[in-house]
Amino acid sequence: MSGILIIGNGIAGTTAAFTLRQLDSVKKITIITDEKYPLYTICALPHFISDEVEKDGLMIKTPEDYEQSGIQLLTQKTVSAIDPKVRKAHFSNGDNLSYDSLVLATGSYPLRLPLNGVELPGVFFLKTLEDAKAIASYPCKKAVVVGSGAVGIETALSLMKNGVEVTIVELLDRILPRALDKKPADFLSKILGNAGIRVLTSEKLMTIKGDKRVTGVTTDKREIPCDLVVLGAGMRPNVSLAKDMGCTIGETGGIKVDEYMKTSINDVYACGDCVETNDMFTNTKTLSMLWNNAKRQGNVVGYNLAGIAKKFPGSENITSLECLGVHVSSFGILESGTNGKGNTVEIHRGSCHIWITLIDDRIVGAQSIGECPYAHALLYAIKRKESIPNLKTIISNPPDISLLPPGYIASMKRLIEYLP
Amino acid sequence: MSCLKSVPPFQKWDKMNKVIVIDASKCTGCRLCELVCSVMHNGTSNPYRSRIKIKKFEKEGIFLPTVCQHCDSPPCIDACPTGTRFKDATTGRTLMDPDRCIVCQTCTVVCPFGGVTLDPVEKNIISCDLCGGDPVCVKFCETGALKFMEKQKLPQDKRLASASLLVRKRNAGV
Repeated sequence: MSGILIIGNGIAGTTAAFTLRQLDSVKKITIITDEKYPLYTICALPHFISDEVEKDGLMIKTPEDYEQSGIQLLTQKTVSAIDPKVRKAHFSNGDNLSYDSLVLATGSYPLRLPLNGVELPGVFFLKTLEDAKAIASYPCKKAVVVGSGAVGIETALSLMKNGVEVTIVELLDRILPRALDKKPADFLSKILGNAGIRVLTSEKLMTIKGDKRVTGVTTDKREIPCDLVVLGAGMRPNVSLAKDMGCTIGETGGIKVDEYMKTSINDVYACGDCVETNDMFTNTKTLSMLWNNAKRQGNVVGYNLAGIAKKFPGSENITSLECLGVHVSSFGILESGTNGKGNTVEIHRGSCHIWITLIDDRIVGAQSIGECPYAHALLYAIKRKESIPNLKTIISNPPDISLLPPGYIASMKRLIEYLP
Repeated sequence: MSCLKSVPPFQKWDKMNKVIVIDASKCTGCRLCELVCSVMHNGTSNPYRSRIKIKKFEKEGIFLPTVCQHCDSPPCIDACPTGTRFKDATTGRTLMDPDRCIVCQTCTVVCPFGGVTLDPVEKNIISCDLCGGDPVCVKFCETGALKFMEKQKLPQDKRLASASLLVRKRNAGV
């Protein structure tokens, strides 16, 4: 009995370990990570930079939690190679460890743009707690955030709260491009602009300038002086270990897994940012890289390791963040992602702005800015693949109120008045 | 989780896994539950800050109370990126640690019941905590639309309700 070996201590790997422990109290579980800390949340790192959350508030598990559950956590250790034939993992310091089943939860790494000046002091990524500490302690007055994903925008806001003059540079024509269409994105740009953040879209970063430290960046349109650059230009799945040991890699670049989160090699599972999964809404292969999907995948792996077959129903892309007191949320398919088949219905009521994407009368996606009391109902409608005529029937004569969540019927009843 | 702080107090619990069960057909829409909920938790009578919400449709005469159902596998816990929301092991309640919350409001989006909401005054996330084992909304509900019962008894209760509905329909000759 050599037990279960989990590589990676993110939410996916840790959930897999703790789920397995709940179901099986005997199996030996070992987690290996190259980080210093037990599980912490990376989604609150921008809030850590602006001092809204302390370091203790980031920690989700303590070393005692692992101890009490009988899970061995090996920190600051790197796995250099895995031999799946003899079921052995080799560490970079020469040690090795054999396993019965292996879980690859290696996560993702930030994309290093091949630019001049990326190595300069003052250029940061934001993926780990160490990165956040480095950004928080780096003295600066002007900053440029490259890329405008959720983390990019939150980092820009945090730096602004610290009194830094911030510019966001985005390559595409809109901010938050994976979550928002052009119109809602422009709406959000205005909110950020009013708060004093300069938002530049359709601009490409060319070089980072400076001799000893960063003094500015050049885009294809202008020069921006700054002393801090945060590169948030996207994440890539960390699949080098999986590739070397012979796992099949999918067309999106993530580890290919079946619905039980099994890779192409026997007794090797994978979960989290490094895998390619089916998107629940579009039914295509996707790299989700979202917290809730990683957690659900880890849970599925835990069950399957314990011998209880459980399927992963598919990734859901749900983005939700708070910008200066305004709630921005997005889920399902964007209109720009429907290849011209979809159309958008706009609803503006008071401080609530919603853009609903429809394909042939079927609700497939929604984006909201401001206080949106219908968001939960829209998400539920998308999951139920609800069409508008069908909704209208349900609303006009509810089959049995106890069959559907009452909040859903209530919100949909209000919403249906605005739909075509 | 040992690193969690400021968990709501929990004293008057007698049985595990009790939840608030809603019988929407008995609700008259008086919204007393909303008032007492906000008084209990905030000391002000402000229905906007209530954790239970009544959706009213005056024309149709439909009143739908919505509140956290303390699900067995809650989507809000899966979706929470900071480990704020958690399941209380002894009582089965879905609770949260406000110190960890970054108010991203993902929980309000993923809850199919609309049971998790944003407090419009303090701008923090609120959801039903069953008042530490003795929910005031249930105590004040005059029509019996809200009941506080064990999860295990739920199917039995539903079976009884639908059976009695059948009997009533037969007696009425429908």
